[in-house]
Amino acid sequence: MTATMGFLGGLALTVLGIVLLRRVWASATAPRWHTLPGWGLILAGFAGWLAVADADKAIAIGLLAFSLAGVAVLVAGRDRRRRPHRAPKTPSAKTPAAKSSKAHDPTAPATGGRAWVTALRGTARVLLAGPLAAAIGLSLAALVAVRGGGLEGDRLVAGGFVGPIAWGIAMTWALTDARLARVGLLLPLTAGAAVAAAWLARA
Amino acid sequence: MLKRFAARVLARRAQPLAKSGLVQSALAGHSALGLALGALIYIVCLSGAVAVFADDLGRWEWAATPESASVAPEAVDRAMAAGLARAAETAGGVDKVSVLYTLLPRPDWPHMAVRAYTAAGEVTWQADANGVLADAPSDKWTDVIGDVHLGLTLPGLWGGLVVGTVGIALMSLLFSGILAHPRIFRDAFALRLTGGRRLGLADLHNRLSVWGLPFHLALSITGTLFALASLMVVAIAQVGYHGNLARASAPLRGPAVVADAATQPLPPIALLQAQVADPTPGAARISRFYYVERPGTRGQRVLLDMTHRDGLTQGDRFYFDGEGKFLAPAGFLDGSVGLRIYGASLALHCATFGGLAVRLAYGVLGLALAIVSATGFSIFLARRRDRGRPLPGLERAWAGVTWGVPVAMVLSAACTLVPAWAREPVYIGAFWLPVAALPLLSLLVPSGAGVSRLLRRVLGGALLLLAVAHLARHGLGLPGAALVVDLMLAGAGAGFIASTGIIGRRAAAPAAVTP
Repeated sequence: MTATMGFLGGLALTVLGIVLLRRVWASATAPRWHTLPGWGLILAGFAGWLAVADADKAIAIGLLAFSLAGVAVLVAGRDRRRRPHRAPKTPSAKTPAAKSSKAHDPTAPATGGRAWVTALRGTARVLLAGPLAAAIGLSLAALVAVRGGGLEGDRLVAGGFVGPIAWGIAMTWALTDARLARVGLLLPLTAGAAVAAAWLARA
Repeated sequence: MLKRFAARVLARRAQPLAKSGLVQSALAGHSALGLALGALIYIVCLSGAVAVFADDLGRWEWAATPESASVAPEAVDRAMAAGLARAAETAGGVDKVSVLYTLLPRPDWPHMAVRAYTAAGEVTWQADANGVLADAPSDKWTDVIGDVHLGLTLPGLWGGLVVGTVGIALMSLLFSGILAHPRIFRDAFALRLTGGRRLGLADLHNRLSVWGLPFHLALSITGTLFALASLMVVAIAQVGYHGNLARASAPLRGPAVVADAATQPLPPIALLQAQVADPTPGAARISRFYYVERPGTRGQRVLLDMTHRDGLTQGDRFYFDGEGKFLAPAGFLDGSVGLRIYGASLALHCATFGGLAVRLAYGVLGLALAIVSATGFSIFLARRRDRGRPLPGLERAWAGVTWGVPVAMVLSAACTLVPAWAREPVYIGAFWLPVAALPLLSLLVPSGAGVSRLLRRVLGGALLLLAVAHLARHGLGLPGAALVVDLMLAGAGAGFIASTGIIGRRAAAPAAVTP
């Protein structure tokens, strides 16, 4: 009985919170703090999920319910207008907008004599986002696993989490930072420092 | 004073420019990474969304075998002993069998199977409720789909490395996607599918990404943790433990048992279970597997899974020595914080908590992630077309990938219905050949939209045929779970066929008039 009430309560609060968020975000003028009641209801929904299961499972179920309820509200409230929406304006090739939009077209041809610079930058970016980002992830994983505090098993698991997350962040940074030199300098330095620190503390 | 004011104004003016620069470069990085690894990310995500139903599909696959949610401990002992004897006979001795692994029946998967690992590979036999093994080995198609997800069926550690790298790329795409779309949260409810094709694709891509974000982040982080575990242990061992891999991974490997080739019978499962203290007396306790390293020798090490509670981590794994004496638990349930998090991560990634409802939720959100991967590439192609620089060949090939992968899965699953083809190499071939061939064959079709329509019809027809053929082979007396799977397959098939006649035409009309 408690579990059923908790399930229904958790679901109802989550859906209600998402509907409130929808109302606020649909308004062009509503200030950001107006979303607080919506978020509050979603958080309160977790109390219901706690009646369904233990805390760890309740959090997982609550997050799943949040995502699924969000998708359901999204689909239910989808735009049903039959007339076509205006497509995003296609910039003509000579406008500044067209030039800037080339930034997110990786296959856009480079102009004239700058082609080799583009190719060089592309190669450098691949190396930074690939092997060097991996080196950062692995070296930080090693640093945490070898030098972190606590039990050996805890350090190993913490290193296991830190490694992929650091690798992913380094990859994102290498792909998004316009200043390649900064990335090229800081990524190897961080990786080197992490390996050196772990090496000095090895068993 | 004036100087400070001017500096503040200039700083305020510069801010949007800097922000816009970040957005542009984040979008460029997001696009480049998505284009480079989009197909692999899509295959890993889609196979994961199917693999989460491994138990249900396994029951569908073994519909001819009577189901039994629990068996007597003696039956398990008989099945394991018979499996070890068979594997030893084939391999040339008990010492040639490296691992014996028994999948034990449970409510979600009421079957028993014994799997032996030797130098020649792995062999699996189904066992009945009395512990009698089937004469011929069985290869599970659901295991192959799991292997596609875990390692793209690549040999050795390569699979984990490739899938781990794909997982890192996925995580990076999630990060850069948020950076590249400053309004992604504020626009979380805008879904305009009836508009232009590019707008519809972009809305679908961004909305499914944002609502699935907690799930997608959790799955990519835990997935990369498991996929790259071997690589990280190598790095940790090299840096911190003088290259000693065993020493570096010791906390996760459990207590060691010294190898001893002298023969020793497998310890009875009842003896093992009796030694594990029960913190919640009266609650159902289920063992999902019984795993023995160096089986049949005095140096065998036994690992038994036992569920304890209805939490995220359902239970623990318990180690025993060659004589069946309890050594220690793995610690997933009440060990150190790190081990508990590791155990919870396993459950979180594999959806082993919460039963069918959670598996369905994972299926929906996993499918959403696959759609996000597919639409990302399609948005790039649509943008190129909008700018007057279409890539028609790539459009057709990408439609071949998008719809070819599920078609390949269905073709591979169809091999389970022909006993002579129900073998792992056939399943692998029947999956990868269409995955490679369909994008190439798609180049023969005049347009990407045509490929999409054609392959959706093929997929719908194949799903319907698969369900009908399965029903015809097993009759209506097949287990309820298998019947539900057949109905779902038929429903999905009908849906895909209908989408090419109704939804496809409706979606195409506005796109055609979009300037």
